[in-house]
Order: sequence, then structure tokens, then C-alpha cells
Amino acid sequence: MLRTALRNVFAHKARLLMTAFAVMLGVTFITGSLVYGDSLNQATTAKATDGYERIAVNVSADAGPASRGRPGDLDARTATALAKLPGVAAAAGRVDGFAAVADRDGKPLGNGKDAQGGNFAPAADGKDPAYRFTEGSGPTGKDTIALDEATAAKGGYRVGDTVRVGTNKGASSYTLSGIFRTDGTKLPAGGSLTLFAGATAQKFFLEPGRYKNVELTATPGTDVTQLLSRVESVLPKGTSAVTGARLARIKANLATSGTDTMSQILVGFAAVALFVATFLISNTFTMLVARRTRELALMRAVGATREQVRRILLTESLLVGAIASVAGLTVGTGVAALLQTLFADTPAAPLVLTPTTVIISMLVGTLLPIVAAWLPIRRAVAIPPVAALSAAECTAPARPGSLRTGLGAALVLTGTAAVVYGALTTGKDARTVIGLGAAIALTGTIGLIPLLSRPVVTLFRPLLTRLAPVHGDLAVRNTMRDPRRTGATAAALAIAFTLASGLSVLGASATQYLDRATTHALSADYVVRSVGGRRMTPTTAAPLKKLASATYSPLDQSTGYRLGGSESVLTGVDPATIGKLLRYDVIEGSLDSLVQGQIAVADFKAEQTGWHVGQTLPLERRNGQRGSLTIGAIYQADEQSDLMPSITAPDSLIARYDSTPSTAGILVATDGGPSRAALAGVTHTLGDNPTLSVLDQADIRAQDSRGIGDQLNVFYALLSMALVIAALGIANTLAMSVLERRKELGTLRALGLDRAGVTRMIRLEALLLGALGATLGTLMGVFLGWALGRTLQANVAGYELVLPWGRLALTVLIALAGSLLASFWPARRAARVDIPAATAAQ
Amino acid sequence: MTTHSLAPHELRTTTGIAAATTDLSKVYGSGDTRVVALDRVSIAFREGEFTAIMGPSGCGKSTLMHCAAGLDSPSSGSVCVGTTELSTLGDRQLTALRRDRIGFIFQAFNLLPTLTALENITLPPTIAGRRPDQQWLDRVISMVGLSQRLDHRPAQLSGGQQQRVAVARALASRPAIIFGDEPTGNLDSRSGAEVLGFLRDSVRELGQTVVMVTHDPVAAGYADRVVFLADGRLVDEMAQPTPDRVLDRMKDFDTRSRTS
Repeated sequence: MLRTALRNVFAHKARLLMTAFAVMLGVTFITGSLVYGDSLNQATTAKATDGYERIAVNVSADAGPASRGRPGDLDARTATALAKLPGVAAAAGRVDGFAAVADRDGKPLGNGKDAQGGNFAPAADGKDPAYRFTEGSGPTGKDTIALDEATAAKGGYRVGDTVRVGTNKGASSYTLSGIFRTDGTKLPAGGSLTLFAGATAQKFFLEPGRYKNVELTATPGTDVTQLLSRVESVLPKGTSAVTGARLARIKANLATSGTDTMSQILVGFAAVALFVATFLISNTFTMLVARRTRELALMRAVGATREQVRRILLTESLLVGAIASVAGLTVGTGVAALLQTLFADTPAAPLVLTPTTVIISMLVGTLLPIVAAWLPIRRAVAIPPVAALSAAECTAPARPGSLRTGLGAALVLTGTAAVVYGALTTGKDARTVIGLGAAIALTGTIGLIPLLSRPVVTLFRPLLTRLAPVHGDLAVRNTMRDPRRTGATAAALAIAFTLASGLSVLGASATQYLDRATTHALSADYVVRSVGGRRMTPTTAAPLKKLASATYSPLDQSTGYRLGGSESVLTGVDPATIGKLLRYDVIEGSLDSLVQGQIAVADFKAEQTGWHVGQTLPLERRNGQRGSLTIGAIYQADEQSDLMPSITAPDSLIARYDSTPSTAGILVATDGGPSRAALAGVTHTLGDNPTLSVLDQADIRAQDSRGIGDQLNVFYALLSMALVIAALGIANTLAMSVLERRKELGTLRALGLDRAGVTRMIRLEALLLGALGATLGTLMGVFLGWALGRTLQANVAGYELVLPWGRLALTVLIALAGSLLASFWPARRAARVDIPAATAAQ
Repeated sequence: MTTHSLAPHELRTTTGIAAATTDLSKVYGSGDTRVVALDRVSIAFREGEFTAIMGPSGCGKSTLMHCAAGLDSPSSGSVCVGTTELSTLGDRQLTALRRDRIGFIFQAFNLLPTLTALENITLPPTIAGRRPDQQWLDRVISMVGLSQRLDHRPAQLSGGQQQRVAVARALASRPAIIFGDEPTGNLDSRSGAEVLGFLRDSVRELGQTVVMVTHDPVAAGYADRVVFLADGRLVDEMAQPTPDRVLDRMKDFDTRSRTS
């Protein structure tokens, strides 16, 4: 039996190739995801723990309530004492904090988040074990600094250059004394590190003479555990010591939590790819069985039992799966390497192929064809032996199964009803109901696709018959000949498309929402924000007074108020200028009331509290101050906007209660609107401070939508794999169809359809399949996007459904182009059919 | 009956040649596997004549027809349809020639299953982007007796009906010549006789030129002329054949090829 199966596999290898290829792609995706995930995990761990082997014991000031807001108790004396312990080679006292490096134009270098500053702590030999200088030497004077290699290169700085660096204590210029390399303990990936001389760093980051932690390096041959106990015996109160190894473990755990989500997403997409592949495999087996009806019936006629036929077919699919899995495992490992280069910001590392990966990939790849072939095999087993004797051609068009249609229709109805119910009622469970309903409706639609193929294809018919009277018409009829096959082919495409267009809709809606939430209200030319979460104070904005061409207002946030019994944050603005800088849609009252010392309240806040214009509210601050405020205006505002305040107050009023409000941003308008000169003027007036970034409207918009865009692009890239499989499905179906229709194609050629005509016909068939899948997929995707968006709407006010027509059209075009590409080989085959042989075929 | 149906034929003074081959050879393979399917065959098919090509299996009769009809390209020699020399034509021109000037009837009917009977009949002019001549079409359809079944698909028709659709398809574009490749091979004797009757009527009444490959002496009996092929060579010819005479000649070939 195995021999028969083997012989069949080899006899039909051309036809099984597509199946094998689909399985291979699925397995490739899974292996790729798992290997990439494992490798990333290992690389991240390696990166996170890199350099910790240098540290034998780390002594740090305890975090926690006792030391909150004040420097640790580690001072130079403790460090010296630690250095004298037996087994300690060096004790490097460390401080660190925020330090942004400016480029030559005064703009901050790097991503701002990981702009780190630290101290150069030379040991007795004048070298700091944590840093290896490639140029120059460590900073020793208060006006010198050293930069890490990447940052220096990014800024184009050489030793001796003047570099402007900003910390929370202000910005000033330094001479670059050296450029160094270091490890992950000091420099996070993509960040920048500025080294100051010890005393300077302590002044900036902590307090003169104090350290945040002390790193101990052991002399060779020292037992770390014993060293730890020796260290602990001399430690002052409020400090503790851990070994470097333990610290590395903690770091690794923290670092890998992010990579786990990434590989989970990848595996999710692999599952989608496999699901799509299932359709392709099932289709192939169905067609193979149809073609082999007579052969299988003959086997039954000469005495094979149903069980034996089943076993032959099962063994075939098993063999195909096993061979394809091995191939997929190999290619997948390669794909993982490709992913590493694709996501360039992830650390490159040796690929990790774990036994678990191998087992999962092999199991999935081998079992998938069996699952996919289950239905076709069932049909094959039902072939009666008498089929071997009948010469009748199977030309009657197959009809979609009625059970399938019924089930599909029931699911679609149930699902849609659930979604509509969920969308209309805004109960707590609406989300779950909508999500579940959408899933049910989509499953049903997949079941209904064979039935839907007829009306959808008919929709394209007038267009096609006008474009290509003969080929178009023939293509339409050929597509509708076997709705089940057409449906399964299109379904694969539709699934990939549902996800792609659903994501597009969600992405576009979210982007527009964010965009509007931030920029709708903004009429200022620039917003000044701090880099890396540094606090700005009202004094930050003060220099702008000198810039005559600028109108500005700070957004001074002051917290801790109870206004009329409601917890409130007041935002102080310059009442004279704010009207030019923020677009207030005043519903009631007038913004001029700010000048008179009254406050303006956002509509959502007023709605929550029931306040109205003219009302005077008692004010109470956490520190005991009391007073009263009158509401002069109510304006429209989005709760999610980080620009529009919930309560706007004149800055003079805030100053009365709070001497240190936090300035969230400074709004600046310049005469003559935004320009390079205006930007330079504002930047310069603010002291060329690299810790401040001056953003124009486009910057803000980009900042808000970049994250979503990046994520979407990754998802699209992953979904493209599913699209490739779906395109393969089209190629497969067409190839099968060309094989089956050899006689027809020969007849058409004999009757006068030239090669170009045949090619065009097959291409049109591919386009029809593509259009069918893309149309249904896009519709389902938009539906899904709408349904999921509905679930968000309850939580996020102002979220609206946005249909990204351009992007949706683009994906449809890509699908059509893919279909066209898929038809290349089948069309060629069809055009080159040998007429005498084909027409004589039985 | 014979004299009556011969009359219209003789009315047409057709001395022209519909298609002809000159020193036509077709060789498959090379070296040890070299097979000569046609060996310098020269034959002319006169306009308004019904020719049957006969011969034992593998004698090259199908190859001759395929080459003469522009479906297959000869290894050497030439084929003319009307005054057109086929070897000078590219695929596109050859395709156009088949579409406009040649009709085909196949053993396995070769109708497109997705098209109705009428759509199948009008397929060649449709491919050419032309409207079929409605009067002619009506005449052809009524001749083959398909008026009631034009909306049926091939799967809903019997074998004989399908071949009648094929005959109508071949006649519909008024080709210069119709080639039939064992057109009755898949039919029972009654349906076969019907189809052969249509072909003969089309020659006698419509002045059509028909060339048919067959191995059935009864079918050959419907023709005006029978040519005999053996081992890729033209070996004999018979005018006004009857099934008995054809059968005798075929038996003669058998014994001759056995004794030689």
C-alpha cells in the first residue's frame, strides 16, 4: 500500500508540487517565526546581560520610600572602603541620568528616550573598565565629555570638537575628549551615552560626592559568594549588594518580555498563513481525486476495499506533508535570518533552532495536509467501482453543497445579528458580542463563498464582455463552472484580504482619530516639548519674551485641586495669546473671560460635573489653599487630546496657587508663519537646548501616527505571506483547470482562437478569481474593521470609522497584479497546447 | 436517387482546388526512434468534393489531415489552402486561416461545455469578432435539425446531437474546406449515418468541400472519392466508392502488406 502511495506521489508530482509548496510556505512561516523569536530572545538576553560578567558585585542605594526624592547613602568613603576589601580589583562609583546630545544644528541626536549620561570612573590605572576608548581619553575636567561611538558618528563629532549637551540642570557646551565603546549595561540599543567627569556627573545627576551605585570588579580567582558576604559586612544602612550574575538574570527577564509578544504575533500570522494554505491543499486534493476517479474506481473494481483506498490517499498526503515540512523547516530558518535583517533594530545573533521548533513545525506540516485532505478523501472513498466502467465525461457543473450553504447562511445571519445587536446596545458585553458575531459571520461567509461567487462574478461580466467579447465571456463561464473550486480559491485570498483591509480600516481610523485629537485644536506654528520626559517650568518659556516676532503661551499644568468637589487639573495659559494658539470651539460664554480671571471648561468636564457658564465654584488645593473660581466659557474638546486642557485658566491665577507648575508644552506662533528662519529663531531663543524639541504641526502629526504606521507595515509584511499562498492557490487552480481543459483549449485553438487570445482568457480568469477574493475580502475586512471599531468607540470618544480608499484600492490592485502573475505559467501552458493531441484527447 | 442528388453538384462548375499538399513529409523523432508518418504525399482536394482518407492504423491519415488543416507543421513539402501557402504563415495568420477558411469536426465532438449549442455553433465567427450570417445560420441549423435544442448545453445532448452541433459549427462560417477526423467514430451507426448524410448534403446542396479521415468503409461510401494511405504513402484512389468496394480494397491492402 505504501508502495502504491509512493508511486502515486511521484506520478503526480507536478500536481502535488503546489500542495507541497503551500505546506512548505506554512511551515516556513511557523519555523521562521519560532526561530526568529528564539534567536531574538537569546540575542536580547545576551544583549541585556552583556557586560554584567565584568561586575562581580553591585552595591546600590535602596530604592523605596525611605530614599525617595533624596540621594542614596553611597559616598566616596564607602567606595574607597569597598575598594580596599580583599578580592576587589576596582570599585567604580556610578551616577547616571538624562543627558541629550545636540547635533550641529542644536537638535537632539537619537530617539531622545535613551539619552543617557554617566560618569567616567577611572581605576588606579587611569582606565574605567566599563569603557574602551577608541579615540582620545576619558573626560577629567568639568568642561570635557566623552561620547559613545555611534552617537559621535551620528553627530559627526571628532575629538576636540565642541559639543552641546543638555541635562535637567540646563544645557552648555563641552569639549569632546574621547570616543568610547561600551556594553549593554551602560548603553541601551539605539541610545546615546555622554560621559562626564565624576564631579560634574554627580552635580548633574545626584549630589556632589554621592553615588547611585558602586560596581566592584573582582581580582581573578575570587569567589563571588564570599566576596558578597564580605561586602555586605561593610555596607552602610540603606544600601544593598547583589552579584553581577543575579543582576544579569533580572535584566534578561525584563528584556525578553517584549520579544515574547513579538514572536506571539508572528506565530499568529503563521496560523493565518496555514489556514489559507489549508484551502489550497484541500482544493488540490479535490482536483486530484476528481482526475483520478477512474483510477480509484478501478482499484475498487479489482478488489481494493474502501479502507485501502483511504489509506493510499492518506499516506499520499502524509508523504507530501512530511517532505514539504522538511523543506519548510530549512527555508524557515533562512526566513528567520531574513527577518533579522528586515527588522534592523533588533540585535543580530546566531539563529537558534530548538528541538521544540522542529517538532512543532514537523507536526503541523505533516498533519495539515491530512486535515485539509479529509473532505476530498471522504469523497474519493465514496467513488463506486462502476465509475471505472463509465466513459461519461464529468462536464456537468458542480453545485455548491446545500449543507454548506445552509450552515454558511445560518452563521452569517447569526453573526451579523450579533454584531448589529452589539453595535446598537452599548452594554458592557457589547465588545464580546461584536467580536464573537464578527468571527461567526466571517466563518459563515467563507462557507458561502462558492454560492457568492456566481453573483459577484456576474457583476464583473458586463465589463469583461465589453472589454473582451469572446475571452471575457469564456473566462466568466469557466470561473463559474466549478463554484466550489472557485470559492475555495477565492476564499484563501479573501481571508488574507479581510485581515489586510480590516487592519487598514482600523489603522486609518486610529490615525485620523489621533491626528484630529492633537492637531485639530492646534493653530500655533510650533509646540515646544521636552525630550525624554524632562520637566519644563514656566521659566523655560521666559526667553521667548525677547523674540518680538513670536506669540507664545505655555501650558502650565497644576495638579491637586478639588474644584466644586471634582478632582481637577488646571492648565495655566497666557489669556492674551491663547486664542491665537489653540482653536477653542466655544459652545457657551466667551474666551475673553480668561482675561478677567475666570476659567474656561471643556465640554466633557462640564458634562461630567454639570457645571455651566457663570457658575462660581469653591476651590480647595491639597496643600490647604482655598479660593473660588468662576466659569466664563465652555468649549468643545477631545478627552484624549494632549493639547486641549480640561480646564483652562489664566497663568496669573495658577501662579497664585502653584509656584512650580509643570509646563507640558509651549505653544508658539511666529509672524509670517512657520519657516526655517522662524524655527531657528525659536530654537536659538530657547538657548539651543538639546533637551527641548521644537515641533511643527507635521512633526506632531508624524509623532502621533508613526507608531501605528510602523506596526501596520509589519503586519502588512506578514500578511503578504498569506497573500503569496493565496496567489499560489490561484496559480494552482488555473494550472489544474488548464490541464483539465486541454481538449477545450485545443478545440478553441483549432477553431481560430490565437495564442494571445488563449493567454488573455486565462489571465482574465485569474483576474476574476483575484477580483472575487479581493472584493469579498475587502467587504469582510471593512465589516470587521467597523465591528472592532465599534468596540473601541465605547471607550474612546471621537473615534470614527475611516475608510482608507486609497489603501484599500491599492491592496485590491496588488491582488489583481498578484493574480495576473499567478496566471503567467498556466496561461503559457494553455497557449502552447498541442492542438492535434489535445483535440484528439478523450 | 443518386442522379437526383448529383444534379446540383454538376451545376457548379467547380474545377478549383480547395487544398493541396505537395511532397508533404512528416517525421517524428530522430535516430533510432525516427518514425516517418508521411512520406512525400502529394494530393489535391477539389472544391465541392467529399473526400475520404482511409488506411490502416498508423498509416499517417490523421497526420495528413492535421498538416493539411494547419494544425500541425510538416517536416518538408508544402500545403496550400486555396492559394495560400501555409508554411509562410505565422501562428497568428495560421489561426486566422483556420478560423475563417477551415471547419473542423472531431471524433470526440469537442464542444465547449460552458456554451449552449447555438453559442458553440457561432463560436468561430464570434472569435473573429463577426456577426454570423443569420440566413445561412438558419439554413444550417434547420438542415442538421437542431432548432429545438439551441439553448441546451452539450451535457444535455446525446452524442449524435452533439456531433450535429459540431457539423453545424463547421458549416456556420462557410469555410473553404471542412476536415473531419473520424467524425462517426464515437457514434452508433444510426447517428453516424445521420452525420454522414449531413456532410454529403452539404457537399451536394451547398457546394461545400469536405475531407474526412475514417477507417469505416460504410462512412467512406458516402464520399465522392476515397484515397488510401499506407505507411505514410498515398497508395491508391477510388472514385464513386461503395462500402463493398472499399472493404475489398482494404482487405487487399492487408494481404499485400502481409505478403510483402
